[in-house]
Amino acid sequence: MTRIGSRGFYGEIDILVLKTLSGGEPMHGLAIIDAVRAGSGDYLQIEDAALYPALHRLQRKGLLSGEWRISDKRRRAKFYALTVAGRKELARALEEWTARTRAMGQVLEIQPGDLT
Amino acid sequence: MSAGEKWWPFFRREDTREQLTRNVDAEFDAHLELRTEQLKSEGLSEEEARTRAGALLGDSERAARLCKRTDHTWLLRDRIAHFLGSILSDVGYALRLFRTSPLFACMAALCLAVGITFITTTYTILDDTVIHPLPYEESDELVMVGRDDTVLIEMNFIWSSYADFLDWDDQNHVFEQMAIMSWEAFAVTDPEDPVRVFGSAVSKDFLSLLRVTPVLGRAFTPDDYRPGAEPVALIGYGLWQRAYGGDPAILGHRMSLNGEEGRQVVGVMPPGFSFPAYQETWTPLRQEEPGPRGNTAFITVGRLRDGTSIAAAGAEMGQIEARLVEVYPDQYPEDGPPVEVRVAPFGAFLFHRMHTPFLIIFIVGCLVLLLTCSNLANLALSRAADRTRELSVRAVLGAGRGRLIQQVMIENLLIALTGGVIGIGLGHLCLKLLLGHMPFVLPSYMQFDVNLRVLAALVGIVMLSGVIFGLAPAFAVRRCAPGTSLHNDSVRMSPGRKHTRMRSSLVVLQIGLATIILSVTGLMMKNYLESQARRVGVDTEHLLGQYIGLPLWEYRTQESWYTFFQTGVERLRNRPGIEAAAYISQAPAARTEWTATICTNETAAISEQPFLVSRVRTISSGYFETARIPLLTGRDFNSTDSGEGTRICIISRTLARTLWGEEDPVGRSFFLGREPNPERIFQVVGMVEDVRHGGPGTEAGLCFYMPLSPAAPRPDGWFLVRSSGKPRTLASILRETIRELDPHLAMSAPRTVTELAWERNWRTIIVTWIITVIAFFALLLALVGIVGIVACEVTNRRHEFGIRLALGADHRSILKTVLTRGGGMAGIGIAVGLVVTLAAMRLFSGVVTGIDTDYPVVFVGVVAFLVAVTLLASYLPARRIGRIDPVSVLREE
Repeated sequence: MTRIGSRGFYGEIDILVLKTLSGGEPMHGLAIIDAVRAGSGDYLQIEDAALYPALHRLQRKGLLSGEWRISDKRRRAKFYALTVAGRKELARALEEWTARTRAMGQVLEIQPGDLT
Repeated sequence: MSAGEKWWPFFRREDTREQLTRNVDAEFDAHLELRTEQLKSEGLSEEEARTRAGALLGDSERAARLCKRTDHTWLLRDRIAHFLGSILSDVGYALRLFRTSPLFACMAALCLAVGITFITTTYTILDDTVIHPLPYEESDELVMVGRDDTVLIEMNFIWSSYADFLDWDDQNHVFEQMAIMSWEAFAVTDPEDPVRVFGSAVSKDFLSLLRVTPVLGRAFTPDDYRPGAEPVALIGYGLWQRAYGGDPAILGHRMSLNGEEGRQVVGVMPPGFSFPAYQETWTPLRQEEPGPRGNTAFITVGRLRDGTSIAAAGAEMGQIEARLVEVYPDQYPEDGPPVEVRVAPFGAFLFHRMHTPFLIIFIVGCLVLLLTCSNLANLALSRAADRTRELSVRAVLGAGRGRLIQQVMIENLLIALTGGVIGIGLGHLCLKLLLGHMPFVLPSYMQFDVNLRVLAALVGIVMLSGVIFGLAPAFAVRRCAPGTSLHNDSVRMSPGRKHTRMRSSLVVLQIGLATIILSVTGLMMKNYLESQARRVGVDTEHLLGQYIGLPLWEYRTQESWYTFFQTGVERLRNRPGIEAAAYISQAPAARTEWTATICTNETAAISEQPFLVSRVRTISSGYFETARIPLLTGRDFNSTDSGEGTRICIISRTLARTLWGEEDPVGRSFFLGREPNPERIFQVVGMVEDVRHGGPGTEAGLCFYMPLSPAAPRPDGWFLVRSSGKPRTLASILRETIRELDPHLAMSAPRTVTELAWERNWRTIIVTWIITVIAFFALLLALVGIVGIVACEVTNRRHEFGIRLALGADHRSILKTVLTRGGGMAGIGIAVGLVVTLAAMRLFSGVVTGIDTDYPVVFVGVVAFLVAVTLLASYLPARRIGRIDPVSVLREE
């Protein structure tokens, strides 16, 4: 299992959070972590301490909205949802991510000998 | 951000910093709880689940700190953006408002522009003369050091001798640097048209003391001061432009100064530099001998060490001088007055008689601005009354009081800024016009530029005035509680008591201010007119003078001086257009002075002093006729008087009265010097009317005239010619005639006697001109303001008067009510104004001689004017109201 902490690739957490929330259902922090883990087949684990600063940053950028609600476990928690701006940002980030991974993949496959 | 948060910022929940902090902590707590629950559901015990949840969370403190920082930064930005946004929206709102009712905005801005114009003018002058009189670095450290001698101080400088300077420079501990300079008149004869300029021979530290460097070339070096070094000079920017066409090849150019050729120009000083006053050429002062201590022909300047006060410097210089008197008793005259040293701030000294007048015009300027502000406040108040409904609606819709006041303030500041920009521009223009059209030459330290420093102060004043006149409407807004005005507005009543009280205080304030301004300006103008009425005593309207300083290196004998001036006068007399011509050593009102000590052997004659100091003038025959000075008794000089041996003179009336009372002075005699000496006897052959040689308004003083003779001629003096029309027309013929006598003579521009008098009194004239303009506008503003505000007050009570009329009051009683009220307000305003004026005058009368409170006519005039204006302003609208039908007034609702 790969842990994603504050020192992960730049923007990794952001894009994961945006994508996770793109379902439209508001989610609290723990739910986002669980959803990412489940979605990656238990491969990706966002660190708790890295998630919250990212959530706040995204909220203050206007990409997420935050609201206090009662969770299904009958506890108060802050639920985050994607705003319109967040949805646009997700589309942009996905495009960039795809382009980047493709480029990385090409480079890494073309000169495999150099890496050893 | 929810829709509510976005659109209605007043209802935002996470509003405060503390709340944001609490929320972050709560979020982390909730996370821990949720995680614990989750782990428990996976089968862990309560204890294990809690520990595990904590471990999973990791460095929660750092994470929380990051979250808080993000949130707080956002909050701050959001608040700033919100504030700026509200200001922007207010500006937009105000602009829309101005577009729908432009009259108010225009009137208000123009009104304020008038006030700001005066503040700009007066403050710039004040800044240039009193606050920062010298354009040098840390100029408040610059002082003048010299002998405390009142006669010489009259000429605006304190003078000292070179010998004194050497000792002072050597012994003092209070000055960082000291420098000494002479005052010279130079004939610059190498340009095509030779010019006469003032110059100065200066000691080594002169430029470094002032912290000034040449714009072109170099300053003097110690080498320039070595005996036998090549003669060098620095020239002024103006002279460079005028005489050498601004040619950069001037460096290294050899100029001839006073006949001495080959003086190399090594540098050009910056524009406007003319230290100490009118100088345009500076040479190294190479004096090997200290010279006599009595030769006080020098100006000594010092720069105080950091933290040394003028008083401390004065004390130390006094001690040094006392030591010198002991060490060199023979160098100080025994019978002379005790020698005292004076240290005075240089800048303040240049304007020593003008501080108070300049301060007074600035204060008057401030008062005019205050008058404008009160005018505007009234205007804004009436508008605020009209806008009560609109503001109340906004209050009902949830706009806070602060928000409404902010909006009204922004409207006012916008108006203030517009008026301020116009006013500052106009003020600058006024100064340029005022100085550009002065019919005489101002010393170059009078720059009157609106610089950044002045501009900053002015913008501050503009903002302040915006706030001041905005206060009244802002207070009106404060009372706009939601609901009440909406309610009241439907029934139009007389304005409430508070409103009326505010308005009456405005009327009283305005009348009071008008009283002060008009009395002060009236007194100053009256003083000026009175001093102008004390005329010079010569035919100023028709006299043109040309100063001549003969180059001594060409005119070596006294004979040649005499011949030059005598032939000059004779030739001029025969020229067409010249009615009369004469020579005089110092023209009336000219800046130069020549005095002599005289005494008589009739001890009873001279009241208490053993001797008198009198002005002396050398004149050619025909001078009195040329200048139209009446000969009272005796005879004028004639051509035979120029013979050697005869010592005769003509005396002025005041001198005759001082010496011999009402007795006939002709045939009597006095002596030159402090003791009767038969070799220096003068016999009086005539008596003439007094002449005010110091210019109009000054004391005539004592004067005696000697004939121009080969035995005692002077190498300089004035040709004075009289025209039948404007004296200026004679300028070219005057110059031509002199050029015929000597084609290479360096000459300054010819001056009419009127110009000479003006140049002598330029400070008073500037102040008077400004005061006149201020007085005119103050009159206008007071008129408009009082009429507007009183009329408004009466009109606002229409409804009340309508009811009174309906209840049976007659028109006469209404008129009486209104007039009594108007008269009462005028009375209070005038009384307060007069008290303040008199108190201020008392305060200033010790300092300034120009203002004389003992002049009731001015006060009576001001009071009569203001009472008349107030009563008229009440009467006219009251009469109109009295005429109307009460029913129609009541039906207006």
